[in-house]
Amino acid sequence: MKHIHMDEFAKLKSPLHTMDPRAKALAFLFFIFLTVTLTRPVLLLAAVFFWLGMLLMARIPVGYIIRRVMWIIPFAGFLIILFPFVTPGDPVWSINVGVFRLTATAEGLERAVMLLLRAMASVLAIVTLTSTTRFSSLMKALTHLKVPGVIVQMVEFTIRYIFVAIDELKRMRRSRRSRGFASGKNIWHARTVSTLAQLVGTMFLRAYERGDRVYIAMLSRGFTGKINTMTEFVIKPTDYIKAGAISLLAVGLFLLDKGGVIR
Amino acid sequence: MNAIEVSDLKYTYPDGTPALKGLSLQVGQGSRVALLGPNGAGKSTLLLHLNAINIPQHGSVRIFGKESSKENEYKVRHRVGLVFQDPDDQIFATSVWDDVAFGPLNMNLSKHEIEHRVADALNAVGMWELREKVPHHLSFGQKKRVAIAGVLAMDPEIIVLDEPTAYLDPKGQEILLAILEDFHKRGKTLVVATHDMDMAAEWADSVIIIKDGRTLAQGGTDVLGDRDLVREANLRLTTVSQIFSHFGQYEAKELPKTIAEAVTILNKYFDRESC
Repeated sequence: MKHIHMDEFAKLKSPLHTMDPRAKALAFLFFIFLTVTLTRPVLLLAAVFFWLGMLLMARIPVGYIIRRVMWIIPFAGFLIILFPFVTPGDPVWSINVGVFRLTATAEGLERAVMLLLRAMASVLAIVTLTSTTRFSSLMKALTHLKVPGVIVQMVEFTIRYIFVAIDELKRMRRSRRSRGFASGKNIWHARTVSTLAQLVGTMFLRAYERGDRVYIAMLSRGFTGKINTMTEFVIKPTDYIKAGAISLLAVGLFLLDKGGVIR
Repeated sequence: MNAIEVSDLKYTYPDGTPALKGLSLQVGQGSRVALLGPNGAGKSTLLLHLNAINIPQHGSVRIFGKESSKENEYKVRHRVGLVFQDPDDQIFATSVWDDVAFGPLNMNLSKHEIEHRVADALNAVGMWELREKVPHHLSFGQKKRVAIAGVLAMDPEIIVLDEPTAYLDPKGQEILLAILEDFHKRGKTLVVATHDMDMAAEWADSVIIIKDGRTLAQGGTDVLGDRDLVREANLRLTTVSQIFSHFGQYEAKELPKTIAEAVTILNKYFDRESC
């Protein structure tokens, strides 16, 4: 079955692609860390445009960037919509919904815009990181940067086996339908709910058993509890320059924000 | 010295299900052994013993004369490679190269040696070109070959494969048999658990049949032509044997099992006809 290719653009060539994954991860995370503390929308907007520029320079297709940025919606979208109506302040706009009157405030709108910009700046930075780095190199870089092995392995195993699980789900769905199962129109349809509950249970059991088998297979190749990695990362002078430039920009934005040079 | 020597092996699962009930077998060094038996005969449990994943509860497993135990489990695992049936159970790393390097990395080899072994193993199974691929983008047959390379890279003297031809298309089976042939030429001892009677007859030089946790028969491929034994083991005759079993002349005689044997017999027959 066909799956999304999470690092399909990692084989392109650009200054970002050739950057040492460790330097890249470190500089990008530092940038994210500083940008989320920014309080001025203009500066956040500058960060957003910086990452957009980086992505375009790395020749990542625009469609792909948009699809990735859409992931903000399920996570922050609800809050972004909610903020204008729940923050106390000067009313700027209101709407009558039946007996309720919803009022958006200026302070609320500002909070919503800030949240949106922060989320965009962070997500774009992560998209730049993951789309210009091979996934396995990124994981090795994190290991090098002393991220706890358990966390790196959890991410690795999740990415590796999520597709196996999705395939399993698809096959199960197909075989349910081939035996005449049609899901009900709403969540109160008892047979649909019980079937889906069984599905979840079966998936859990299968994942558990698969975990056992994977572990046994690892043991049989001499696994001793410690994952060893081998990398041929070589940090070049240009990596320091690139990482330094990105970090300096972040520091610059941070100082501008704190110093209040821009009103 | 035998490569593998199992004697009076008993194993009961924690839930009380007995899987092996006093099983014994020998595998000669450099031989190609087909391990046959119906589902539930204890094949998988036995395979896990050969690799010191399961340690004998009773009896012993000797690898080149050394008894496998909790103390030397890593040594055993370096000498006996086990290829699992479902390659998705075995290939866990995020790239083909990294997965094949997993075993050698566990053996604390030098960087140079690891690179050399991974390249050699991937070339042996024809997967070197795809070394940077993400495993879930590979076909089933390709995953199977990566799983085999992952074991080969540890350079074990014995390679045990669980159902290597299962789910493979004819071309994939052909590639797999070529890989096994290559391993045989390298002097590896090969044990293949299979339900494919035809493959066992064509490929193996000796056969072990197990049932209900015990060895039912062990010997050359001629045991595959033993009608009573095959019936008792819930197996079936090879396709060639089945054809010849329909002819009265073969009722008391040994049945041919392989295509080559059948061709020899038929050639003789046609030669007589044409005279």
